[in-house]
Amino acid sequence: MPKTEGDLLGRDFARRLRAELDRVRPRYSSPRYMSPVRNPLRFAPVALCAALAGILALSGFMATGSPNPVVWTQRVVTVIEAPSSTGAPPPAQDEHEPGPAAAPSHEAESKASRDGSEPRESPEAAEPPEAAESPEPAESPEPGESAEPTDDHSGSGGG
Amino acid sequence: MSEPSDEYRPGSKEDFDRLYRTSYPRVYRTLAAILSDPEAAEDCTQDAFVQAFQAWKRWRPDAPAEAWVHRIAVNRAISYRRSAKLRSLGEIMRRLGRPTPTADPADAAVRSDLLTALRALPPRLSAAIVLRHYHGYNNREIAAALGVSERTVGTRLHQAGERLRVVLGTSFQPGAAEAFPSDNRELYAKD
Repeated sequence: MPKTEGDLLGRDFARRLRAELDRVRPRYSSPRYMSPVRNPLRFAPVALCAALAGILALSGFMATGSPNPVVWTQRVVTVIEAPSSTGAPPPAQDEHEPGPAAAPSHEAESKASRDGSEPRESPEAAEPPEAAESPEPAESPEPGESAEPTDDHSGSGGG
Repeated sequence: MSEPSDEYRPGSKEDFDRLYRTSYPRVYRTLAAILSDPEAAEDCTQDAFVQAFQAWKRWRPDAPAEAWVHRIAVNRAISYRRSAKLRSLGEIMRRLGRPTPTADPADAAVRSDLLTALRALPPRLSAAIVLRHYHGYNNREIAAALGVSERTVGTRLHQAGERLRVVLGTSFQPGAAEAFPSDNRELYAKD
């Protein structure tokens, strides 16, 4: 029969252990589980959401210059819809100031000049009357940019 | 076991208060046999009850509540001893070249060779010994308290008994505490 731990330690062990540990007197401090201090990270999700909203608002304000969220939304809609309707990236529209004659339709024309064989993808590209409808070309013709419309016209013809 | 587990309802604040009042001294004494520092034993016991309170709604009465708290407390004590070993290494490095501090003779009078030997054991072994020989747990309850199988409990009790028998040897006689050398350093066994 194998020896148990009780045989190994002897009968006196349990009595001695009880005597020793009974002499240990725990200090009864107030229970910590009742203290109001709780997990400091319990508001972390809320703080994270607030920080994200703040960053979004700040970037919206910096992009549009307006504190009105409606303006941010309009800007987002404009930026998203512009590429989908014209097929051209929106920065191209910003880079090319409206030229004297062909500026309103320069995107379509320049696309047609680049693509050559695909000028009819966009319905706006086939609407030259836009140039006449817009008063902008007549108001401020900029001579420095007159090269672009010329290129566009030549490009549209030559492919 | 001090109380049947079916007297406690999970999530009940009143029942947890009762569990605290009943089990705090017993859990504290278990950790006092594992940790040599009384303040550390108190800290770990309090931390264990904080953890237990946070999980009190999820406690299932299929295991005794006190064994469940013991399990949390022993794990907390094991973590504390690991970090204490690292701190003691840093302390040794800082004391290099300095004279060794002399031990307080009054400290030796309250020391026990039995508790010192228990604290020198790996905490899982000393916890098993205390749960069996002080709290009177059976193997099944110890297994629930330590989160191991009953077979493992038997192995641990046997290993702890052998080690204690070797360490205590002939000095294991009642009243031998006064004869213990006045050394205030206690070496922790490998966890």
